[in-house]
Amino acid sequence: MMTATTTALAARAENLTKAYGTGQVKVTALDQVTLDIPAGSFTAVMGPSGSGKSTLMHCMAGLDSVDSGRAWIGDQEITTLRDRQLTKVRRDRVGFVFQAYNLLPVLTAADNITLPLDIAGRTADREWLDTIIETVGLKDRLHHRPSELSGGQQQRVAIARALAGRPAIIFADEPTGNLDSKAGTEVLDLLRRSVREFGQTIVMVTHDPVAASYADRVVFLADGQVAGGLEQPTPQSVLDRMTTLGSES
Amino acid sequence: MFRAMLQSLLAHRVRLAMTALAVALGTGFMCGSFVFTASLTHSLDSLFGQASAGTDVEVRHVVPAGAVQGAGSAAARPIPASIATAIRALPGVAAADGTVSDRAVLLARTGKPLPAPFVAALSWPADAPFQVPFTQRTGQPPSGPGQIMIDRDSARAGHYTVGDRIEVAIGGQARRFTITGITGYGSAGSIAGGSLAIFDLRTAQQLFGRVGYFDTIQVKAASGISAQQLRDQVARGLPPGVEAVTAANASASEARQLNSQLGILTSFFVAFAGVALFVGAFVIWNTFSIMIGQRARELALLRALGAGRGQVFGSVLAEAAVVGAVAAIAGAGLGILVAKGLAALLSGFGLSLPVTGLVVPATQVAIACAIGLVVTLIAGLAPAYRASRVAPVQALRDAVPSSAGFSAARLVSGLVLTGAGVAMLLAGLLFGAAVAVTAAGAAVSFIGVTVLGPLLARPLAYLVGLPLIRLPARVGALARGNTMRNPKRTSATAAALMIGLAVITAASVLVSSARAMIGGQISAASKTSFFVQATNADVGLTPALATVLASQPGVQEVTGVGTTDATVAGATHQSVDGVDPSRISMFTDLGLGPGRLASLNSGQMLVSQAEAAAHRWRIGDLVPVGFGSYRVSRLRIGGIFANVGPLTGYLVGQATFTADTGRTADTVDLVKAPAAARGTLARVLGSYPGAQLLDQAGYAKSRGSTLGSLLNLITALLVLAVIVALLGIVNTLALSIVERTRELGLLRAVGMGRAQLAQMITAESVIITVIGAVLGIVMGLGLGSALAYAVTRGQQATVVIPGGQMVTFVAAAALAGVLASVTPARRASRLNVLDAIAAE
Repeated sequence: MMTATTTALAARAENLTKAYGTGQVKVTALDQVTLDIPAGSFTAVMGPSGSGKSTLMHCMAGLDSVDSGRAWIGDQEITTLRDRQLTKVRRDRVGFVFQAYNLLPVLTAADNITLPLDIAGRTADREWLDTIIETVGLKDRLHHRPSELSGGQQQRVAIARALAGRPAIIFADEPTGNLDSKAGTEVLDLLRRSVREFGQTIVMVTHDPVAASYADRVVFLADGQVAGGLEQPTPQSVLDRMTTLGSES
Repeated sequence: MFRAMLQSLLAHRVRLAMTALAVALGTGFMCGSFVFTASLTHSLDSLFGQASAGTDVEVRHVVPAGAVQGAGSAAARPIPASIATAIRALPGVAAADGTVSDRAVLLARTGKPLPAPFVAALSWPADAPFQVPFTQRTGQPPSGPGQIMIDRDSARAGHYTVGDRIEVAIGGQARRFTITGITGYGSAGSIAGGSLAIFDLRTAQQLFGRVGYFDTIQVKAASGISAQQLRDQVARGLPPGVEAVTAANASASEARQLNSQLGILTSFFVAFAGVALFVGAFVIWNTFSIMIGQRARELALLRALGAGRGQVFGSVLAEAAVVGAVAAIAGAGLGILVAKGLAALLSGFGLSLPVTGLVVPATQVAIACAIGLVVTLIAGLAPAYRASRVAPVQALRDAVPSSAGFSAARLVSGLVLTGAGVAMLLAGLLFGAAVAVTAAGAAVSFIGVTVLGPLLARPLAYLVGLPLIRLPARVGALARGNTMRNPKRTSATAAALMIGLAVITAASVLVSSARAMIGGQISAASKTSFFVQATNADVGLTPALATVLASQPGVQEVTGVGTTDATVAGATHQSVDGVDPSRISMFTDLGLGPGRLASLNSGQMLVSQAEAAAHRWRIGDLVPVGFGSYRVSRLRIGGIFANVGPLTGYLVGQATFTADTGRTADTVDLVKAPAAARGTLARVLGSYPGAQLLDQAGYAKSRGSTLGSLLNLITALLVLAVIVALLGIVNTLALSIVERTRELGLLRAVGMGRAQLAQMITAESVIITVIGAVLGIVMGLGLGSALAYAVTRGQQATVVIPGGQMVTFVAAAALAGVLASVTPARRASRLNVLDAIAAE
């Protein structure tokens, strides 16, 4: 039996169960989900609407509580933590990229990038920051406010922010959901390069087969349960799998 | 449409309750002022009614037309006792009693005065009809020297019973009496809360210098004779200068006179209620504007579904009407509490008024409520108009936050308004334009600064936020950014606070300037080392005290000065001093210009240069001076002096003073003695509880203390306007938190703790309140300096800016900001991270 202290894992979920409502209106969002996220991997979580993929991400990231089961970030079990410690785990070990409204409008791009470090009271590693900014290609937009940036640029700032603290894992929730295909491609490229070049672990929730094909592997979720996986996915293989998932349900 | 409006009201009920409260406070204050004065009037009416129960006709000296009463002003002249004997012999008279009334302070066992709004001394009426008002008696009426009857309330307060010894300060000097009886008054324990010291007639006449005289004669008609018939009968035989009035008329005319004075008090309160309502209007306008902004999509959807502009406009205005109506009704309820509070507040600032029972004047309360409703509707007009301009297409678009950039039109109109306001203000203060122009000038400059507000908000927020930048976790920088991102909202929220603080600041500049002027005058010209001052100006000090003080070892010179309230050349509530012409220049350097000090010996008056200049008087002019109810004299100006020093602007000789006021009591004894004599003086004054020993600084402070109390009262009344402004801040913060739910969620997701998030909201609140305070203080300093200059320039132009107080105001504003943020900050920090992120 595998233990939680395995260092090769960036995150792990074990028998996670989560339901909303009670009685007749009870909806089981997660049903005994077990999932390992190896360090340095790029995992896409896919599934139809209501499959529980967002809930899984929220529970694994310490944003939501679970009814039963356990979850770890690195070797830190987070399902037993109280809010204050959870906040600290998110701050120090987790990065987030959301679908939209991802940045603080009152801060410049540069300040948005260092926000988690500032909140933690950590000083930024200048060299690392320069590397990230170089990678995301926003050198000349650093002193602009989010309202002066395009959607794709905003999302790249958000990725830089997630990378800045060298978190154990980055959770990206539909990061291309609000972008046109060109900007979406740039963002997905950037995510993949982060994994390849910096060894960053990323878990991405998406319903877009093209987006999922950028990942190393895809985990399919249906009705709150893991419904299989796919290594080295292509858009076509993902799409095929999705179609079968849809017909099963 | 209106179902949608109602549902939106219910959805925002907490917010709207806060908004309604902002108006309710102002309305409540206005209602309260009306209830308070109505209750006071009623209490006084019933008091006068009780006092005349049992009496049909009163005989007294004629009171000069237009007599105005003030602190220390003269009572009506006494009349010879022989008149009573003559009246008793008239047919139709059942009884006639002469009485003496004056003032005496009942002392607690500690030697301190028992608290009472006024301190009456009376003689016990010999005949039963006139004893009617004195109810619930225990013990016996006083019947000889050393005996006293006191009122039930004082007996309770001082734990006195029949047979106890009590000290009573008469002319400031403590005297011992034995309590032979205790009495109520009408249905109450005393006369409207005042204390009663009742002596037998002969003792009263001796104590108060009325041997052979009465203050009034009460007459009771024989059966079958009406009060009017009796009055006519009695009046026929009276000597000139003495009149007979029916008791009903006497109490009615006294009530009338008091009511006219209370009218001033009502206007005073209503003015502050107006300020609070003005601030409330700001809060309403701001809250509605924000809510309209947040509901733009919803409104656009309504428009897309076919709602007309008028319907949208109407629905927003209807919301305002509901809020206004709720506020008005709550305000009427609050008014009753406020009325009670006002009585307590006034007595806290040394102005005790007898209020027994509350009277609610329906019409006035209705008017106040209507004003609250109308103010709310007016404040809702602009947001309603803006709501009606929301285009249907906005339902389909993302909300684009309006960026209030620099606007030249705003700058120009703001500057023009502010300039016009300042010009009107200065015209009123310095060049004698009407008071209305001055007040309008103040209001216009407020509006001008408010128009400029959005332009000032960004740089001010930047500066005010500077010290907060160092807060950990970027809390300060975020807070500053949040207040800068919507300058219109920030400035509107701060403007509400600005108004209250501007008025408070102006008042404190005025008061410190006036105090500094008084202090400067006293120390510049005075050669007096000690001042023995009467603690109660109405009671005064016995003239014997000056002699006692003079005989103390080390004391060089003593002179008594009497001060009275007078009406000089039509100006009410002026102070006139009675001085000893042969001695006064040993105590103060008058700097007599033209004229002679000795002219005081021949019944002439000296006036200060400031008064002479203001009235364009010259030596030899005749000036009418009304001394309370005693008499009106025409006094010739015998000289003009430069230095007011410890005295007042009008000086008469002691003989003139006594002849014109009937008072022999001094108000202050000026003492020349080495500092070492202080101990001796203090020891002597041990048996004069109505006197206090002060040095120059202490005397200056005491002379300015009325101003200090006034300032405190004004500040206390303006606190209401500040509270209303704080409600506005709570509203703005709460609404902005709703608006920023996702942002706050993001902050929490990337690791900001609850406490840090709460700190951020608090910092925003503090930035807003400090901006309001800074703007208000700057405006208040300008207004106050102009006021102070205008008020003091006649004597010695003095403008003092109380820097310490200004710092206190800013600190208090910051603290208030922290308080205002408590609930919104808690709310923000309790946000569920997941809900916040998921929020649309």
